Amino acid sequence: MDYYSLILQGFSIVFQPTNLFLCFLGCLMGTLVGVLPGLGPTAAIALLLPTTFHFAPVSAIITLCGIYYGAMYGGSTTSILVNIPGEAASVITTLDGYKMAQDGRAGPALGIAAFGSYIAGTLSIVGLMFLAPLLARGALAFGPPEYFSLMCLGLTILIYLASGSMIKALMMAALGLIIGCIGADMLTNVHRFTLGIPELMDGVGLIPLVMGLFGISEVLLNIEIQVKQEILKGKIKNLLPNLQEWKDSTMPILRGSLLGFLLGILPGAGPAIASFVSYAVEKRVSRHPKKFGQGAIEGVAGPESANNAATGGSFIPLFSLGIPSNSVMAILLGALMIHGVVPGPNLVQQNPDLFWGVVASMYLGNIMLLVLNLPLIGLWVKLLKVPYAILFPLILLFCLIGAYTASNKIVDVYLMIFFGLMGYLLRKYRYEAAPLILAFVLGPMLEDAMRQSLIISEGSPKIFFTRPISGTILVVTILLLLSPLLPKIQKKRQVLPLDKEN
Amino acid sequence: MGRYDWRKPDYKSGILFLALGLAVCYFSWKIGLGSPAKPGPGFMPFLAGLLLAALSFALVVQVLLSWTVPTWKTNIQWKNILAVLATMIAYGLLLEKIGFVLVTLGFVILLMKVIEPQSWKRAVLGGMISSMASYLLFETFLKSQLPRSFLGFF
Repeated sequence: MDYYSLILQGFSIVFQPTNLFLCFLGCLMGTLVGVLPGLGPTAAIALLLPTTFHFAPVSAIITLCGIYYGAMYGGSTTSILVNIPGEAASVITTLDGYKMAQDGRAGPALGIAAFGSYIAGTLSIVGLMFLAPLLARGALAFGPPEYFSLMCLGLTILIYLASGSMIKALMMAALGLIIGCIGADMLTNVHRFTLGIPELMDGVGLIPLVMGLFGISEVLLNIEIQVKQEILKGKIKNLLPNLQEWKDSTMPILRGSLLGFLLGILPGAGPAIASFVSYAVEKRVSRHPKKFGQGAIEGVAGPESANNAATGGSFIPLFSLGIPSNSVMAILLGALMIHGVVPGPNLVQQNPDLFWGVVASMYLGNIMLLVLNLPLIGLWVKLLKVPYAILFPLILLFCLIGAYTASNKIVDVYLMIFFGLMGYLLRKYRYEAAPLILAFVLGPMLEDAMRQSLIISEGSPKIFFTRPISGTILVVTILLLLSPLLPKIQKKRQVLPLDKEN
Repeated sequence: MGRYDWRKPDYKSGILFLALGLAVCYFSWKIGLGSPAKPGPGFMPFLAGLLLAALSFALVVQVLLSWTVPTWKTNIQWKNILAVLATMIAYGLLLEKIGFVLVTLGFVILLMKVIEPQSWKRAVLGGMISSMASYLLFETFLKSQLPRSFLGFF
């Protein structure tokens, strides 16, 4: 395959004025979302999805992707300056980043976070560019049984990587499957759990569900903690790290890139877990592990690189298999379908403009973000001073408008409010929403693949095991599901801290 | 915390999800399970419901046996939560009757006054700016169809 001409074609699409503007807008929104605590990338993308309905498919995806990786840049800013992570993937950055800021080294901390993000982001796009088409070509041989097994594996890995109780993560996945069943059955047109509400016949919309679970519930949680923000006073200087700081950071950035990229591909791992793992690795390989938590620049460089690299990796299953690996990808999958693009192994070949345009936009977007984050840092710091009491009515308003304009049905507004309350209670009782969203999206696909497989095999469930690829994947799935019974692994899992959003 | 602490959050939520899972199983069974060879519309939700019920049961058993199950205070502040949710439901009820701009104005002012009260000047100003700006953004720029007021405009 001639990558050179394909990527050139991609750039020719991005450099169209509209796309250039939208790429910038996406990155800007992403940074904004990253900087503002209490509004994560998942909610933001769900919020802006309806506004992209009028765009061309490639423009819409370029914008939404920009929000995602842009948030990873912005998230570090609040972690370092205010000790409040802007989103889940920057939680770990607060440990050393804020300490550095207190010691008067806010500049280098912000600088290395931005440069590390840039390097890791770009490296992971290179990986995405080569790996996604390759994987897609391999996946062309996949039939419904393989897809069924693959989705089972995906759900299992997701649950395996979930923080906290594995039973509860599985419960959330089951709940997601149930919510995904609501509506008229595709094959028989029998109504399932519609409670006699005609609007529920088409099923629960992804937008009200995500905005409720991630947007509204987040606001409800935030209004009860009166966030006392102490923004670092004084000017931030020396944004360019010095030679020694570069020396200390080079390896963490490279390790973080590789680690983040690989973890990003796995379902459910995503940026947050990548940043935690990177921090743990850096602490272990460091010659002076005691410095971690006291303002070690490696503790900023590694995780901030890893979370950006993870965003690149997480696009791979979506673009090559049509299977989302986290809740943001689930929304992007929804966006693709709304725009009439069929996700799956044919996507790269049938929509080269879309895939290569989006890849090219990510190269460009990373450069834009570097510019947005370093010279304009003062602007973002000012923004942090807006009190939450003024911010939260606006976030709620945007959710309301977003839920309404997505379908022009008022029922979706009520659904969103309901899921908002549900998300709030789930969080209070320590359940995670991410497995729910993913199972919700995968559920109907899973059911479809299962039924089609059974039609092929004329009713014999053995088909899932006798086809070699499908069988192998299922065996791996079962082994993974059984592994927590081994106490050693159970102990290791508990090292993963609780993440708020993924 | 005692060995048999019935107030543990995991216990409460576990019982609730157990009931939900069983209910889903029952209704799926009524819709029609079909056979494994030819699954009916109730097959998938039945499996999901069964999974939920089984896991919830495991969770509850875990709490009863107190296998190092953590406990914590849920600290739900119903007053604030209900105030915000009620305001949002009111927004939904009134939106198509009164029109976008007026409802939005009221919504923002109310929320700014209720949770962490701001001055009237700030609240009214915030309400006016946000309703106008969002109208311009969504109706004029993005061409969404927002409900208009009885006056025929806005």
